Amino acid sequence: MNLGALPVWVLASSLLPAVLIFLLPERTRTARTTLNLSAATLKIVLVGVMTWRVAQGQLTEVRFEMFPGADFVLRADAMACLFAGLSAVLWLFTTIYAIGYLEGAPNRSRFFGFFSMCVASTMGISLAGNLITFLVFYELLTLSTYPLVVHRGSAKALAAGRVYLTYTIAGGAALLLGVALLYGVAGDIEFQEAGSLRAVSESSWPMLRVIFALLIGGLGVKAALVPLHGWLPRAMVAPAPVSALLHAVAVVKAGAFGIVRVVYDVYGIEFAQRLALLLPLTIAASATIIWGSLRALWQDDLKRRLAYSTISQVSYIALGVSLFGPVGTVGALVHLLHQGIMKVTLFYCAGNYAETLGVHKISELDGAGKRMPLTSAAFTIAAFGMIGVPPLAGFVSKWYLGVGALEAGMPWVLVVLVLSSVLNAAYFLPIVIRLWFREQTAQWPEERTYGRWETSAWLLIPTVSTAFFTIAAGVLASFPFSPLQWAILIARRAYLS
Amino acid sequence: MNTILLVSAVMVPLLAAFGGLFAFARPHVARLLPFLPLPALLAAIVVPEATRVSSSWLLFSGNWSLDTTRATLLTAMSLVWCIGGWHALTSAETRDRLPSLVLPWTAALAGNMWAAVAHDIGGFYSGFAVMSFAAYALIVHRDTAGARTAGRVYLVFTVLGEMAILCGLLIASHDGAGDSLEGVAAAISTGQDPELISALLLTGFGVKCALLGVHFWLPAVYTNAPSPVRVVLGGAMINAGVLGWLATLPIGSSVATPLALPLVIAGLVAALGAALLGVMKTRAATVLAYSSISQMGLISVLLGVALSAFGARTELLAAITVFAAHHGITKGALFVSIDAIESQSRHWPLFVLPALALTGAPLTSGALSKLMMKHAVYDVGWSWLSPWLSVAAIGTTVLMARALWCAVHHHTITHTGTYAVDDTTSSSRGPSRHPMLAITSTLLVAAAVLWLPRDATGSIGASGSDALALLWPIVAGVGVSALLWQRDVGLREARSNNHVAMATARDTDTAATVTQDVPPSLSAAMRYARLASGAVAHAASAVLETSRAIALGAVAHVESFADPERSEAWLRRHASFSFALLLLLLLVALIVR
Repeated sequence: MNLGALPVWVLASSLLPAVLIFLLPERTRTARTTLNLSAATLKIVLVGVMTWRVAQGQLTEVRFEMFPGADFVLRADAMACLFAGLSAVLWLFTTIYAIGYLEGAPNRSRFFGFFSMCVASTMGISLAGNLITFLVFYELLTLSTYPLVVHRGSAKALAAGRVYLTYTIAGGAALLLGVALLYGVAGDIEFQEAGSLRAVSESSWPMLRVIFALLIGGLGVKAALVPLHGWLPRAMVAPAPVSALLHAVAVVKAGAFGIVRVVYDVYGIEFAQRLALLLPLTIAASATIIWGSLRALWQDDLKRRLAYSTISQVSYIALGVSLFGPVGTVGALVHLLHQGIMKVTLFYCAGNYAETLGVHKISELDGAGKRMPLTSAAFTIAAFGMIGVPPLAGFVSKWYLGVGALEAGMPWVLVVLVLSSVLNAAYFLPIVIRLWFREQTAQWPEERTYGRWETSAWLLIPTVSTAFFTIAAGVLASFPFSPLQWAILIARRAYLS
Repeated sequence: MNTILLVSAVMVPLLAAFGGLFAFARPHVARLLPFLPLPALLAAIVVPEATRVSSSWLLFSGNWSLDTTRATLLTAMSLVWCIGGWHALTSAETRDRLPSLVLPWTAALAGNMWAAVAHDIGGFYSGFAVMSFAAYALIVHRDTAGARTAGRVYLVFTVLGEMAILCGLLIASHDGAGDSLEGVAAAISTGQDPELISALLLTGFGVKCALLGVHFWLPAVYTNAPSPVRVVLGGAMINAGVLGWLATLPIGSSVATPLALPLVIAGLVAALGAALLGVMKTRAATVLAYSSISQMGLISVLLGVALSAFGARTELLAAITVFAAHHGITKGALFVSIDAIESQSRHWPLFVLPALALTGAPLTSGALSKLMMKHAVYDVGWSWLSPWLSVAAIGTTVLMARALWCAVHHHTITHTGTYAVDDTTSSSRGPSRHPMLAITSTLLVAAAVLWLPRDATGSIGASGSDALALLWPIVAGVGVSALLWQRDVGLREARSNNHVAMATARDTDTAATVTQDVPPSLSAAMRYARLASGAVAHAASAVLETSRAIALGAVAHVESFADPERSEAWLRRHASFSFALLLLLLLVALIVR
């Protein structure tokens, strides 16, 4: 195998299955499952090799000219490995989960086809080596997730899909405008550690600020920055594995990852600080964190509460990005991974309750811990992780964000962190208490039994695995290649130059 | 070998907790509960200070070892956990539903042991948090309305406390502590915001060890938790908070902190005020809860002194450590014995020795710790505290007498308010298996004096003048108790039968009502105070409450028991509010500094 073309292989490992799955007839369940799982496993191996090579300092790049003056660039750098690694691991688990979740449901061929497309776009986003390539995959992501959001085809789903499209296409347009303007100012912008805009003459700095606002605004739609978050709670009508993917890896995270790329690899964190672009971002992220947490308090629908929680938690990433200093950077990058692991667990659990017990509302969850102990244990671990209780993954993020805020000379961010943690506790702990310490009061709305385990093993294995990662990422935070160590590696490279 | 012992102190309970995840393993793990703390006990006794365990893979590198302070506290904590585990196996309240107790019990134990050995911020804080949150499940084990209310109050205080600790550690880490817990004290001494970090850590850990103002959860929790849980909460976990203080605050540093005097005063108010309030309670566990607040007040006093004393680190540290260890074991034994007495009142002699130890009678661990305390206080020039400590000892004696009285008359007293416990469990108890356990725990208290380090004073109150100084408060306390008993303060009516039915009917919904009702006579004043500021509200309502309790006690009216309860519930609610406000104020101080 030609390792030089590794980024292409990584991309192809989900693009090809997507095409093949579309071609497979609906009823060939075994073939589709085999294809899905082997592709997902292969991708983990490929990303693993890629990460290993990047750690050794070998950057691989594939480039060809799309049109004169603009290249199509796929590049495996440390940042790309961060996001690609997250996507690859969670894709495997979510595929397993989706197979169990959609057991016997119609249109599975279409679903898994777009599912793979969606992951392929995410891979493209992580590997994109310049803004234009990024934009291509970013738009592809919008198009491939829409069919997943409206998968059930109900009126509510279609309405949510419409809102989703409106928001994301408008965001995409802002992003496109920003990229085009930036092209005019500085030409084809490659992603590069510590950024590449420093050389731009001072006369175009005001223009750069406008462009920054456009780019962040466009990315902020997917990253669900308040007030651009309206689509996310509505998109909850999608099936649980889609929500899990949307919230943990694909859409929301793509927006956040875009913000990371723009700040670190386009503008460069030090140049962004000089342009005074970081403070507005801090304020926007802080407002989002508080607003999302507050709204989450009032939701009785489990998935809606989780959705508002995502709005709040994803902004931790933007918050960390905006804190000038390597520690804040570590906090942002590590949370990109940690939030993904924890939130995917929570959505798996929500799906398990819905599929097994027919429970969608928090008020119906009383006593579910007895009926579904493993799922509820996973939920408890992830919820405590989200609150930031040590030694779980969320604590590591929160700790680095907190120290980062102090290093950046912005102690008021600590108030945001504390307030948000208290609010997290206020909306997660009551659920945990209901699960374990309340007696079941009514029949489960729609109970199904699955033989030996509390629910289908397809649903249970991913849930328990990601919950385990939530613990491991916290307790073994200093393990080589742990999220924390990788984030530290990237931060070191972003500030050294 | 030492390394393995140190690691197994934490890993054995942790493995047990892992086993507790699986329903089939739970009954087997349950039988091991008294033995799980044994590796920790052994480690505390034999592992030398030089033994260090660290792993570069763990969060913040994990750095485990035991110095004298930690070894002393760990000995006491693991003994209490053993007694508690044994108690859980035999107590009528828990033995039938033991499997559901296994996971939180082992998790809290593992957390406690983890915090006891970890010298890195990540490890210590992790253990502390695991212990705190697992304790919630222990507290609500009885699943009564009162237990739920208590659990909720506990959670609110715990979450806020965790936040205070997090902020304190974050700022300290930024000020140069890095990831080492010992570095925090240095960062406080040399960094740019010593008062802020100290205040955050004082209140944060203070939640666990009942610092005045953040103690409001404690009486409700001790009253409503099952007896074995009281043992480990009041005997072991409380000392994790003390350890948090000792490990992070700059004791005996060269920089005096302006927080020292307020801390001493808060400690004295708690030591005396809790005795006054506790005497009004009708349930032995509640009385002991107030006794804990009072004893922890003494620790606050010592800590306050320690924070202002230049260079007297060793002596004060030893005094606090010995006091905390003594209090932990003694309080554990007291909780065991009142449970024995409540099931059969003829077991009352079991109460006497731990009670005497707590009051500081000669030849007990209490005498040792009291004398160490007095010497330490004298040596650093705070001798004016000495008479107050004697007054506190009188209070302790009265509290002990009251607790014994309540335990003996357990079946004839009517309880109201949040402290009313669903009595179906205790009245339908099977034959008691407590005496052996209670005897053992009492013997432990007697033995405690033998192993507590005694280099600081070399005396355990055997000399004549010391014995006199220790004895007179006890005699005075017994006298006061006799006086109160003769006047039968407020109990005559409470014992009359027609109130029993009423109170039982109320049991189910009192918890809900007491948290909402504001006593009308106080509401105007208290609302005003609340508007003024959260901190002022604390002080004002504590004064109001105290004077009111004294007045009501004199009147000896049956309602006197309902009303302080209500005002307390009000306090609990608003105290958490003002705690949050305080936290916010501290952070604002950080921003504007």
